[in-house]
Amino acid sequence: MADSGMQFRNVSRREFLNYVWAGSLAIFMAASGGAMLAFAMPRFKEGEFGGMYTVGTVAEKLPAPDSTPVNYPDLKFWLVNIGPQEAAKGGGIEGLAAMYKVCVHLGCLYAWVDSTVRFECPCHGSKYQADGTYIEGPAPRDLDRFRVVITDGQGTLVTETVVTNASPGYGAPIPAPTDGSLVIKVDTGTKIEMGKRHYYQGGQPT
Amino acid sequence: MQSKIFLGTVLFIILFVATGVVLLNEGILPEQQTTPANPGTGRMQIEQRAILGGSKEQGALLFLGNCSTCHGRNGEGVPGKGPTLHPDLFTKHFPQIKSTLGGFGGTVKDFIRLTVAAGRPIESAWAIEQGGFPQRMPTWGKAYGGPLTDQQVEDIVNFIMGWQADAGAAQVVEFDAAGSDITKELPAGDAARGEQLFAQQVKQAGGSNAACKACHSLVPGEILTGPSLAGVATRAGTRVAGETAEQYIRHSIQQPNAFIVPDDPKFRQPNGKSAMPEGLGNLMSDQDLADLIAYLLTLK
Amino acid sequence: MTPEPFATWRRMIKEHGLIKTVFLRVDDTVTRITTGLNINDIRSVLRGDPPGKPNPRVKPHTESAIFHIWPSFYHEAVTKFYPTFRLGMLSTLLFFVEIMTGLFLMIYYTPAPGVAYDNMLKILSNVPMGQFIRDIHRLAAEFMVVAVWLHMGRTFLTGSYKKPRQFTWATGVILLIITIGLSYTGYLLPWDQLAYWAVTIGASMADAAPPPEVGKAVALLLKGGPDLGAAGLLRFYLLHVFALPLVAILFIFVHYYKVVRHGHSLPPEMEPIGEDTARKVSQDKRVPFLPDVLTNELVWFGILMVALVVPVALNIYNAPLEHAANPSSTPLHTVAPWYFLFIQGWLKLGDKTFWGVIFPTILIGLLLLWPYIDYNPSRRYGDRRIALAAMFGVIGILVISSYMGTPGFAVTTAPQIEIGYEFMPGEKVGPIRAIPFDQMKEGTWSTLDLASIPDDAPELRRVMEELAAAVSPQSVPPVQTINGQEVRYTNMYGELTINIAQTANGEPTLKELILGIHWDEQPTDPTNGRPGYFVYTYVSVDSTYSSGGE
Repeated sequence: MADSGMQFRNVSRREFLNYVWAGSLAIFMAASGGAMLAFAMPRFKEGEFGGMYTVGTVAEKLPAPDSTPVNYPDLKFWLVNIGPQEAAKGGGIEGLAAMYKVCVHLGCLYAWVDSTVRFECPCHGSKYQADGTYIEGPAPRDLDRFRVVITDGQGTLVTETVVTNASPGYGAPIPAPTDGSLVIKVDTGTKIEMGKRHYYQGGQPT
Repeated sequence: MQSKIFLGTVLFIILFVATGVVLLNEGILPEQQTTPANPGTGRMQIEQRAILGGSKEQGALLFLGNCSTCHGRNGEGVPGKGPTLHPDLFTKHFPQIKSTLGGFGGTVKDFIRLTVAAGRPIESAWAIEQGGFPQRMPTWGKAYGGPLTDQQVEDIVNFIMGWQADAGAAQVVEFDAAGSDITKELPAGDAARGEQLFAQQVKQAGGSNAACKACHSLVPGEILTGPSLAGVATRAGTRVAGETAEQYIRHSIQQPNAFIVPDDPKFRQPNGKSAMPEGLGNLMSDQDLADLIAYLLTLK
Repeated sequence: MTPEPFATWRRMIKEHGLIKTVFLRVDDTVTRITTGLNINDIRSVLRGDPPGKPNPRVKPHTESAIFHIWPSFYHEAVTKFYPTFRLGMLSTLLFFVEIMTGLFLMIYYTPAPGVAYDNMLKILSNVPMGQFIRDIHRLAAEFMVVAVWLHMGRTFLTGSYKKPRQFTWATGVILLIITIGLSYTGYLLPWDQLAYWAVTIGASMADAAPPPEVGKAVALLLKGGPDLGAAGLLRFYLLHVFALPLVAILFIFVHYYKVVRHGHSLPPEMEPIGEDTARKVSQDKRVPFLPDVLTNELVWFGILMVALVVPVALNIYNAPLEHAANPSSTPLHTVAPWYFLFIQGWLKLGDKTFWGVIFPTILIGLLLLWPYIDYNPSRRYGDRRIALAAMFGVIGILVISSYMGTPGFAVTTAPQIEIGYEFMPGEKVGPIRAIPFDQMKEGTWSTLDLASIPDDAPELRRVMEELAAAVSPQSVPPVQTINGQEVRYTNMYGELTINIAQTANGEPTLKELILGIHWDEQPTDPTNGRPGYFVYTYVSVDSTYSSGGE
């Protein structure tokens, strides 16, 4: 009768050494896998196209309230001044904001459509108000936006967009400055993701 | 079985014929090649021309969106903003460049590509000769910090080269220019025609569009390069002592350097001259001038 | 005893004479190459003579590498068109065609953003047979996607996935995914607008895979960076020409080996229920590979090649190429390739994580495990009504989802933009650019005055009539509700203004076409300050739009 697995044989030295060797091979494979992954994962600065970009002084570059958003194609944002009309349609807060041009659904660049006065994405039809509030479509949340910073001529901070998640006014437009000498800057390295959609229903955000 | 062999043979013969037909149409035969006398007739040659044509189409769209405000809708140039891109510029100007600038080593196309991609940061002697272009040619190519990709720059270059095909067909129009003489008697002005001239719906006697709206907006308070013309009829009489509104407007068009509006530093070039170009009177007839003045006098 | 003297040329000529020696040498070489068939054996194969005993035609199958892949005989029932429809063979042949055409294209292609598109233009215009090879590569890719789906459907239909072939089915599902992966990675390589945005959307779906860290890591690995750029193109290229074909070849090898090992499944009605008799083939049912099945396969290869070459040669099929990729601008109505339309349809339903990642993964899992879930031992159609109903149900869902994925469904924007896109799209040709160049008459043509169009411009007239229909109240409801407000589109009409932009030697070389859409409450167009909605385009005399070019 052949020696089957029912009878436990003591592990010989050679067998044990073979197991240890196999273990070392397994550890090596794991390390190689880690090394290969580290090799393949790309290195980049978050928001590579940006750091702080100086738009200009309030006198020159502040758009009029409720006017068409200003396009900054290479920096991938729209500079928009939410006036009373747009605020009423959207999230209710007036002021200056910088909307990140990439649609939060699947990465296409949405466009501003004059005739319907809103942002519309050409890929799957997500639509947003001028202040980024979600209207309809498969997008999961309101538009992402960049932190806007207002400084005076010497660089001292005057006001900026709230970026702490829990704070009130998180990601909301900041009041449009009136002093013409203040400087508008957009920090394209700090992207603010809104937590959810604000459903638009007949004029009132819910 | 034999029918299968027969079918197989027929199929491979069809393949042979089809491939052969394609090969013969491709454009490798000597008679299909492009020569100065005949454009090539092979599929490849047709495709090459189509690709160049497509590049010009894209270039035309880019030109419309980026270049036409300074160089004119049809590349004819806007005085004080951008020179003409028609053959005259290159047949007259380019040989100068090749000789005076230590010998620019490239072709006209290279020169155009260079200018579109890198811009013109310093005013050239020729530009100064033309009366100056206060706004420099901006940088367009990505490699030099501009917004357009290399492909897009090449498209614009191909489009501009498309105008050079009719080089030598210089259009000379004979007419009596209004010039810079402010004492010449003018005919009665037609404000309606003046409005059409301003809106570029009709051309001036010299064959070009009146360039006013490139620098002067009709929106109150909006400054493009020059002051807004909204309400100019009311203001004009108050600017210079002794000049009526009508005289002031005429003087401004024919001799812009006589008085520069002090409201904004933009209206004056660094060399002290007005940003409004001289020589506008050379592009229009007396009637054009009278019509424009009549129209501007309606803007209260 | 001394061994026989070595048969050198000298000795053989001395013994047999020169001619016979040459013949014997050639015969010997042929026998080595075919591993067992000498010239006479080959001739008797070609003549259709019965093989001698022992059968020399078995030797290539048992002793060579290439012919070892094929079995030396097939059951007669699987050599006909039914039940296989030759789909598995079709899939493999198409893969082979793709490799050959792909290798040639690789000679002229470099995977870098500025260069790739220029290479495509060069292949199309300065490489003899370049457009031909590229079109065949693209057409065969689309055929292959169809073929593998149909093959899977056929295998399901005939219940050939049941015991003992469950693992064969699983390798087949993996091959389906690899085929789709090959098609998708290849799609990006031309680096035109079509490719760039379709792949951006797909890569963003990888982003949506839960948990977020894994999704982001996978998306980064694929794209090579936060945006799709040079790194992404190179990675997709390596996947397309090396990694995925290698994996495909391995899986094809396993898949085919399993098929031969178990024997190709017989038509369901021939087998007793629950039994698999494919391996036991009685002598009278055997069809030898040499010459019968090989002849069949060569004929089918010929049919496939004709189906690929003739449409391309006759210009019926042309692989598309849009303008060069522009990462700053997404064209309207970006569509997925047709075989992904069903996913695009699902994505319009809601959350991209569920519909783009979780739901397809569940479906693939079900597909892989189906043979292990299906406990019905019978392969007969009558006994499998539920399974067959499920299959047709799935097909129906895929078709409906594909329709939902088309641009027209649920993604419409304002009517004037839709009409502008329909007649003068940014990327495709559209009806207006397809008007022959000399029929683009200078002037302004209005849908309100079609009679003024000259008679020598019938295409222009036809397009203006289409435009008139598109702006009519039947197509554009005069009163609509958009964004909660009432918008009026009364008295809409269209105008086409044609100007000559450039000439050469007095002949027009470039024409400007401006499509204007006007209605009572039209806004001012911000690009030119005039009332209405305008779309601009230019057409060159050299463009081939009117004859089907792009």
